[in-house]
Amino acid sequence: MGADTAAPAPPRSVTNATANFAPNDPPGEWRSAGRDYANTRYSPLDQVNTQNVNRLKVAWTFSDGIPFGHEAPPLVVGHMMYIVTPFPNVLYALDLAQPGAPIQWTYTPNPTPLAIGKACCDSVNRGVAYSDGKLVYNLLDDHTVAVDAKTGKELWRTTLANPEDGTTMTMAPLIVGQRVFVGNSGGEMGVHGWIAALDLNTGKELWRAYSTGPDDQVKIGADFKPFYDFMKGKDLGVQSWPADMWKHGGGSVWGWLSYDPELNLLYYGTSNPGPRVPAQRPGNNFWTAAVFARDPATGAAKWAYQFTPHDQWDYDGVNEDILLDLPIGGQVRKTLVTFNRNGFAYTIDRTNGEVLVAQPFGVVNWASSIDLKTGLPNLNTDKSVTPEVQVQNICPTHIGSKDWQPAAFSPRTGLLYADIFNICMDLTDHEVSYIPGTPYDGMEIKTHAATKKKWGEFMAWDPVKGKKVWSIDEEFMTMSGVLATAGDVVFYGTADGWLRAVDANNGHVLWSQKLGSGIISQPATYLGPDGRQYLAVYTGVGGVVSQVMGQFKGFPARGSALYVFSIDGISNNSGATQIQTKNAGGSGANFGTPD
Amino acid sequence: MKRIIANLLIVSAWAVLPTLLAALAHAGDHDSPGQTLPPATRAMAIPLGDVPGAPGVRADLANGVVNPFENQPSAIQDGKILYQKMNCVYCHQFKGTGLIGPSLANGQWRYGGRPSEIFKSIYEGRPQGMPAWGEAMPTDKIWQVVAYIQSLGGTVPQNVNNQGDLPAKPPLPGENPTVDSEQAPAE
Repeated sequence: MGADTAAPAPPRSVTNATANFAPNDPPGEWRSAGRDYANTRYSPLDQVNTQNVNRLKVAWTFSDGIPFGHEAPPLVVGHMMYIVTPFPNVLYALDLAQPGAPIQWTYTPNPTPLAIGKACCDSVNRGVAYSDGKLVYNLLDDHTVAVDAKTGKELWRTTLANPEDGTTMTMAPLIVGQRVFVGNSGGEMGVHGWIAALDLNTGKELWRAYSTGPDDQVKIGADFKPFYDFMKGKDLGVQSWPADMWKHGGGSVWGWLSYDPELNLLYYGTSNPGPRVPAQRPGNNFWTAAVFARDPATGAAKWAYQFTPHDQWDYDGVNEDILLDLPIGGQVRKTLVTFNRNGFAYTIDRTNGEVLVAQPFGVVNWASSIDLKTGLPNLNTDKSVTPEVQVQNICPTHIGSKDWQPAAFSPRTGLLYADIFNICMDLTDHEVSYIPGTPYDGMEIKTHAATKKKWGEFMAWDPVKGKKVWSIDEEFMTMSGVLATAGDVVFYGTADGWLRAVDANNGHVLWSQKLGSGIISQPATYLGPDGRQYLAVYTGVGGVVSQVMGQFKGFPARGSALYVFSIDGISNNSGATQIQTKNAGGSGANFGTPD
Repeated sequence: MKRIIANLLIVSAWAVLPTLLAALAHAGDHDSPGQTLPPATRAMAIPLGDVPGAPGVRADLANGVVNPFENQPSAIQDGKILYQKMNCVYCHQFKGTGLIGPSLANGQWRYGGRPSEIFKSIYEGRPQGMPAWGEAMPTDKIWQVVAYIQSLGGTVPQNVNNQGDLPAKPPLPGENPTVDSEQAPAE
C-alpha cells in the first residue's frame, strides 16, 4: 500500500440523507452498474481523496477496437475485471493480478447485426451484472446471456424478443437473489414496452409486465394503489389510448432498476409513448413516462406515478431512481429521488408514490410546476405540439435536462451529483404510420443551448430542499455516469473527453485529464490485487451526444479505450520492474547487474 | 373539439395506410407514362459497390440500369414525400444526414452509392437493419426515392469505378451548423 494521506474528516451532511448499501459488496469491488440496489454509485474507498487526487495518472489502458458509443462501467470481482463492449457485445475478462492486466478469456456471443439498424441511439450497452459466479447481460438483438465468470463459457441464452419488429436491448440487468430483471428498448420504434424476470440459474422467464395495455398485461391487480386520483381506474393502459394504439405505445424499459430489500420492492421507469406525435394519441397514454414499484417475485404492481401524462416531448421516465431515506418535515421518509427527462427532480415516497418534492433542476418551460396535491404538471399550453406547426424553444429538449446518465449519492455530504443538459428544441411533428421494423416517430427536432456555449453542466443537488447547491458549466454535453467516493471526490466526464475530479463539498475542480475520445460511460473505482485504489473509465463517444453535437467544431472522434488511473500511475500492472533484460555474454561493459 | 380533430387525424392515418399498402402490394415492373423502367430482376445482377470485376458487369448493365427519374423535379418531390411517408426519414434523417441509419448525403456508402446500388439496397434490404422494400414498393416508387437521395448530393456517378477517385466532400453542416447559440436564456 502506498503511504497516502489519511482519510479526510467527514464533512457535515447538508441533508442527513442515508442509504441502504445492500447487497454490501466488498468495498474494493464493483459488481453491478449502480454498485448497490439503491443505485448510489458510491464507493467507500478513500485512498484517493481531495488531498491527492491531482496526482492521478494513467496506470494502464485497454482497447476493444469498437467504434460505437461506450456506455458501460467495468466490473471488478476479486482480481478480475469484466468489460462488456458495445455491439457485438463481446465480454472480456482481464486478470488484474498479472502485468498488463491481460485478457484471460473472451466471450463472443455473435448477435445479429440486424439489431444495429433498430437501435435509436447507437449500438450501446450499459453494463453487465455479476452474481454467484455468473455474469449476466443483454445482447442488442434481444437475448439475455449468462456467462461463467471463471471460464467464459455460456451458461444460458434466453430470447426475449424479435429485433425485426424494432425491439432491441441495451440496459444493464439487475440481479436480486435468484432473479435477473431486464427490460426492452425501442420507444421510438413502436414497440410494446415491458420488464421481465428471469431465473438466474436457468435463464427461464418467470414473469413479464407490460407498460401499456389491459391491467392483466400490466400486472395491475388488487394490490395496486396509486397515490393520485388521475391514476385510479380500470384498464387505464387501454382507456387512455385511441383504440389499440397501446399495442405500439412504447413505454420501453431501457433504463435503471433499483430495489429496496426491506420493502421488497423493485423500482424502474418507462419510456416515452409512441408514436412521438401526441396528436395521434390523445389521452394520458398510461403507463408511459412513469415509475413503477413492483413485487419482484410476481411482478405485481404496487404503485405507479406518471411523471408526464400524455407526453408531447419525448420525456422518458427511465432515469435512475436513487433510494434514499431523507429527513423531511421532522420525519425520516423512505424516498426515491430521480432526475426526470422533463427537467423536474422528484423526491417521491417509495412506499406509496406520494410526491414530496418536485423542483426544476434545469431550464424548463413545458410546465411551470408540479402540483403536489394532484400529482399533475401545470402545463404551459404554448409548448403543446400539433402536426406541421413548429413550436420554438421548448425546454428541455427531447433528451431532457438529464438523460440516462446516472447520478451518484454521497452519504458524507448528503447530496446527489449529476451530469445534466442545458438544451432546448424547436419541434415540428409530422403524422406517421406504423410500419413494423421502422421508427414510429414523427419528431423533427432542432436543438440549441439555452445559454450560449453551455450545453452541459455538473451539479450538486439537495433532494430535501429541491435545490441546486453548486454547479460547473461545460461547453460540451456532460453525459457520463457520476462516481462518488468516501475520499470526498466525485468524478464525471464530458463529451469532448475531459475526465474531472471534483471536491464533493465545495465543487472545486481538483483534477482534469483529457482522454482519447468523449466520455459517455460510467466511472468505477476498485482496489487492485496490490491493495491500491484505481479509477477506471471507458472512453468512446457516441450515443445521443454524437447525434446532437457530432458536427460541432472540436467534437472528438470515436474511441474504444478503457483508462485505469492510480495515484502517480503506480500499479502492479505497469512500471519499471515488469521485465528483465538478459546478459547475452557479449562485451557489454556497461551491462551491469540490475538493482 | 381538439379530441374530435385528433380522432379524425388518427382515422385518416389508419384509413390511408391500408390503401397505401394495397397500392404498394402490387410490386413488380410496370411503366409509368413516358418512362421505361429497368426490370427489377436486373437488380440481382448489380454488384454491391466496389466489387472486383464490377466494372465489367456494370458496363453490360449500363444501358439497362440507370435511374429514369434522375434530376426530374417532380420525381424528386414524389421521392421526398415517400422518404417521409415510408419512415425513411426517421432512420436516415431530414436531408439524409443519418441517425439510426447511415448518412445518405455524405458520400460514404457501405453497399455502394451509385443509383443502381442504392436501388438494390432499398429493394433487397441490407444487414444492419435496412428493411427489404422490394415486396412492398413498386419499382417506380423506389426509383423516385433514389432520385430524391441523388438530389442530396452524396451519391456516386454510375460510371465511376473506384469511389476513391472522387474528391472528398466537405463535412455536412448537420442539424446544428452553429457552435454558439445566440439564444437568450429561455423563459
